[in-house]
Amino acid sequence: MSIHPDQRYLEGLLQNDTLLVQEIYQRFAGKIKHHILQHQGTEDDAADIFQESIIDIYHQAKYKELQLTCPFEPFFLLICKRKWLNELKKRSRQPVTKRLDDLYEVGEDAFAAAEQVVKEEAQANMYLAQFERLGEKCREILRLSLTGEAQEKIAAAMGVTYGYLRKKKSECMATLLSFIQAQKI
Amino acid sequence: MAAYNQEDIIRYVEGDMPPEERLQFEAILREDAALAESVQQYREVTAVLSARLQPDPGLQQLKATLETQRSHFHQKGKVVAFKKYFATIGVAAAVMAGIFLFRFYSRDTNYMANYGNIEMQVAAERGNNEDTLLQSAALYFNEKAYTKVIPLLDTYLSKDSSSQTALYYRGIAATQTGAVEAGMTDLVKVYQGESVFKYDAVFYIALYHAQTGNKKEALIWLKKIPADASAAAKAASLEKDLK
Repeated sequence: MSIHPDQRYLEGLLQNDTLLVQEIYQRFAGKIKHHILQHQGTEDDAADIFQESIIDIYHQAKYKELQLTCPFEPFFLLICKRKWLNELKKRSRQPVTKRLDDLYEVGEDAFAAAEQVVKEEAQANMYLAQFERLGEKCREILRLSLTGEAQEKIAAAMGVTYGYLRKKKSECMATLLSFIQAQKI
Repeated sequence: MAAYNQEDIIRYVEGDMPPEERLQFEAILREDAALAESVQQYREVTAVLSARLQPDPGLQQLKATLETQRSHFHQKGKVVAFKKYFATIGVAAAVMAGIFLFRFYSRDTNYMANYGNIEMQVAAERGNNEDTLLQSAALYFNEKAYTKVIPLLDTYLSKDSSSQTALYYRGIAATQTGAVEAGMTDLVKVYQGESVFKYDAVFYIALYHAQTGNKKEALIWLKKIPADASAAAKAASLEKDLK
């Protein structure tokens, strides 16, 4: 499928194009505010969801090389709405039963792309939240070794042997995986 | 996958398993969906953390920009979709007028500065993707970000090649970015058509000639503007400045 001209929004976010960010707010803030106020939320909830949705898209564009094959508007509005629905569920309120695409005629591609962004970003945020639950030492070891530092260098900097570092890293990772596993059950 | 624990999975993915154990692991991996899923998950977790534990100055900058826009959610009555806004104030669908804001401190020869401050206004009535293209174009046009206007109007015109609104503003944007020939071609097309922009286009062509010192050509174009056209007053004023 060919890339939609609205790909410019994703490129603009990657470059922190302030004019484009302004455009996104001017065009969509009213719609999202209206939707969230209608569905048990506040202005602050709307502002948070809007901001988080833009950051989700930024991450997908940066790390997953997301390419839009549909217009930006339904894609973005669906992400905001889906995230709000998830938030309502988290707050254990009665989730709204309305269909997400009630207000827009949404193509399947927009729907699928939005769902994927929300799902993958929720998962990435869960991984990061579980990472934060690890002890300080574990976080330091994993942070250094996952972001490309040479293991020998890390061991020397921490004053431990290379063998100990490897063992510890493996233990920390195993703990993290068990935390993540527990979230999925 | 009872036979293998998390640490085994890590050893396997990290390439720390002795070859014999590795072969055995792979044989079970092919049969055991749960084990395969755990291997996949480990790969995903390391990929996500490797990317996102890195400092990201771009993200920090974007977050700062987003904060500056947060007030959009706390304005009363200001955040209104274009469509509703225009509907509310009762601007008919046909009203697609460019507003010329021009200043009268003439007597200097920077005609473009005096007469060329043009704002793009569009009335959205269909609420479709084409409308949003025009709205986006207007936003950039009014910020004088003309290079961003042109591709948007190109896309618009690829779907509706007869749109005088798009042709008129693309003509101006192109002229402003130095693509004078393309700009003039668009403006002449608008002049040859019958729209509310007809004589505004003529005026802009005259203005361009005035600015580039081609007084004769400027006057020829100004003469085409009839007295009852909305551009007549500024045409008369420019003509006076030129003489």
